[in-house]
Amino acid sequence: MLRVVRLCCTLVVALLLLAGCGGGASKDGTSTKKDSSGATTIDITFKDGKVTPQGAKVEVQAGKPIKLHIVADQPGELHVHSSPEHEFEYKAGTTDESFTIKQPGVVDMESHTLDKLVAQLEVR
Amino acid sequence: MFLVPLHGLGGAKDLPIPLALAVTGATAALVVSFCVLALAWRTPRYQEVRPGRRAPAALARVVDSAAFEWTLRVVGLLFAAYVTWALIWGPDLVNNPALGTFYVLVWVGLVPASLLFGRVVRVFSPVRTINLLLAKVTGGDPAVGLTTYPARLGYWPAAVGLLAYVWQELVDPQSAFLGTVRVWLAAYLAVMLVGAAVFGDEWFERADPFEVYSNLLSKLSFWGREGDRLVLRSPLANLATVAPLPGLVAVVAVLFGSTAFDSYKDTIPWQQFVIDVGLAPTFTNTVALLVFCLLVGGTFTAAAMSTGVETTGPHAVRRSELPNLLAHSVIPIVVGYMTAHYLSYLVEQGQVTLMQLSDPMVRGDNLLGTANWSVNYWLSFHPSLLAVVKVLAVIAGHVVGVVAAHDRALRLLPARHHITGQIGMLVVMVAYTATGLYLLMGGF
Repeated sequence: MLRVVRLCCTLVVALLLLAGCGGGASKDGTSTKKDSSGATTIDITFKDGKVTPQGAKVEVQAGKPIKLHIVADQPGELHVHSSPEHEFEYKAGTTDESFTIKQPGVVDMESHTLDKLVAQLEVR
Repeated sequence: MFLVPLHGLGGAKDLPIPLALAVTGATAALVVSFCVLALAWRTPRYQEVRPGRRAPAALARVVDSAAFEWTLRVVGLLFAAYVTWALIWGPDLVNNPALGTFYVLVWVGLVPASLLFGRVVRVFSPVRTINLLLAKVTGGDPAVGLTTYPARLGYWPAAVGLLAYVWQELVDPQSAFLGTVRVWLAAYLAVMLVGAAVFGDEWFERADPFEVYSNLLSKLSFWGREGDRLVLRSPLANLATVAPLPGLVAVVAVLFGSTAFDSYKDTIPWQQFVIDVGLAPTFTNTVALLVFCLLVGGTFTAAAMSTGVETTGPHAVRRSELPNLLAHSVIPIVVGYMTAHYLSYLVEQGQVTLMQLSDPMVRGDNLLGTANWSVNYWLSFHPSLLAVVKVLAVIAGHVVGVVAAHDRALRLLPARHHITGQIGMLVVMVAYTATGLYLLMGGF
């Protein structure tokens, strides 16, 4: 019985450690700004067939504007897989877009042109 | 313009559950597990199939009547025909209802349907009905094939079929296009009908991934059969009646491993890994899916066998038989995790699909009167409540699984191994639950 209790304690500690280690900071080089009204601005750069950020995690507020500042060397398409979906066509040069997501959840923003995940929006 | 996401159907996913909730849940699972081990009953309660309570005679008469059976069969067949219309003649758009029916209503919907009503796929299954009709036309017996089904195959064909389904759903980059769904379903239809012609309709109980999945889930419902008689049983007593056929471990490993993989594949580190490793993403994801399923199957097998057994006497059991004899205890864990993983998806994407079903040609029809519904996103707007429900589902599944394994272990293991012989299994189950909660936390 004592062995069972000891095993039990070991497992609790292991679990807590596992959970504690999990919360590492993300390193994605995202340039996002949040202003006092709750709006979020995300800078997205397309250059030489690459996109920055790529696979970033961005927290945004539900119902508040999400502004995209897109600088691209070639025109393309960006998809936001919320419900309803948002789709943006950008041109070579600078494009600014704005949209809102009402419903909390995790939403993928993908470059349709490059077939890559740009960011996961955590809508809270 | 309709958008096809890279990742199949459905828009937003659930927010990750909060860390504190996940840790609380995992700790609760751990404590409950060892309480069950130390304090619960010491003689098996579900050892022999306990006689169930007879279902009310009127109910049994209706359920067993040919009219009722054929009503359900016709409904199943008509629905399949309707969806086939959309599948073959409808446009290849992501809002074609064939996709939502295949991935949401059938695959996810069969979980609550089987838990509530029992073996639903068996009664609605269009392949079963087609086999019955073919037998009627040719004057044969649908139960008799060219040969009898080899018992040693057990559930292995179903495990392969389930793997084929989850591959199509989770790995196939073309999963949201009609072409691959058509091919998958054509292959399914062919394998089912040819198999039934060769082995008789026992083939469906062993090889049809949907029917096997639904039948296993129905063991957690109140409905059972004793011989031909409809009975009511407690879900725990019902669960103990799962037949430990060869391949059962493989079936539960595919179901559980694939759901874990589904959570994992959406995490940013994994997506980054797929890019960094530089191989074709389909290949990398296929390997990962297999690794998840093999990890579940392997750890479970090892844990089930990590005990002393009686080698002689009336209670002798071969160690290699233990995994299948204990595998029924993974079913509640699968249900808990499926609930956590798919609840909001079923509720919200399910509503979307019901609306789309009114417009199978995607041209603005309203054939069923559902086209103008609006989707209720209440669940998503209450993320804290949703997170609590998900964790509770995982814990409930874990507790039922642990209790089922405990009860079976008491029967299988000699008295001197009653406690120690269960530790391996408990550790593995706690690990499953902790991993599940970790993945629901977003996996970082």
